[in-house]
Amino acid sequence: MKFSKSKWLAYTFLVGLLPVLTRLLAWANTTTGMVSPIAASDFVAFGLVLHVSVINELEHLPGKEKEWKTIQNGTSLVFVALYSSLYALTIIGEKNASLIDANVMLRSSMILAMVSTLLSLSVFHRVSKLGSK
Amino acid sequence: MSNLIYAVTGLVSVIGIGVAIWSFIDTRKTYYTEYKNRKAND
Repeated sequence: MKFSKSKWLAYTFLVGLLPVLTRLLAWANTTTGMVSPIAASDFVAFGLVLHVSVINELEHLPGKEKEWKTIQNGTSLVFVALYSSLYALTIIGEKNASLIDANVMLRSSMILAMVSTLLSLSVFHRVSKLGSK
Repeated sequence: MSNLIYAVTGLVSVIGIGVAIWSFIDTRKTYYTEYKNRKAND
């Protein structure tokens, strides 16, 4: 099975970024203040897409990659759990703004999304090496 | 609450970056060794 990094970029990275890009488009086309340009929930969705694709890709790797696969799977599961918690907090914050600081949620989800991109790249780097053999 | 979120994010980010760096190094080590062995056999 051949998996190139351009496939990862097109199918995973850009599809994951769709909510962020759609929001930016809506923000650019509406009057000032109607739509905020960035939101924590979009970065949470981006991170979830990256990790779900990583978990799916790890399923198809050969058995000799066992140790590496276990560590990557475990890390992805931790990230999925954290993104789920952040999403739950975002939903709570929608109705009760005094309970959750939206800026903290945004910063946190952006940092996690960047780390998820790095992790996802490291997985697809190995998968592409495996495919090129 | 904010401090807790920052602390958890920081901890998980450090773990994530660590795993990513380890993964890049491990991939390089594994596939470079295999490449070297194949070259030696040719």
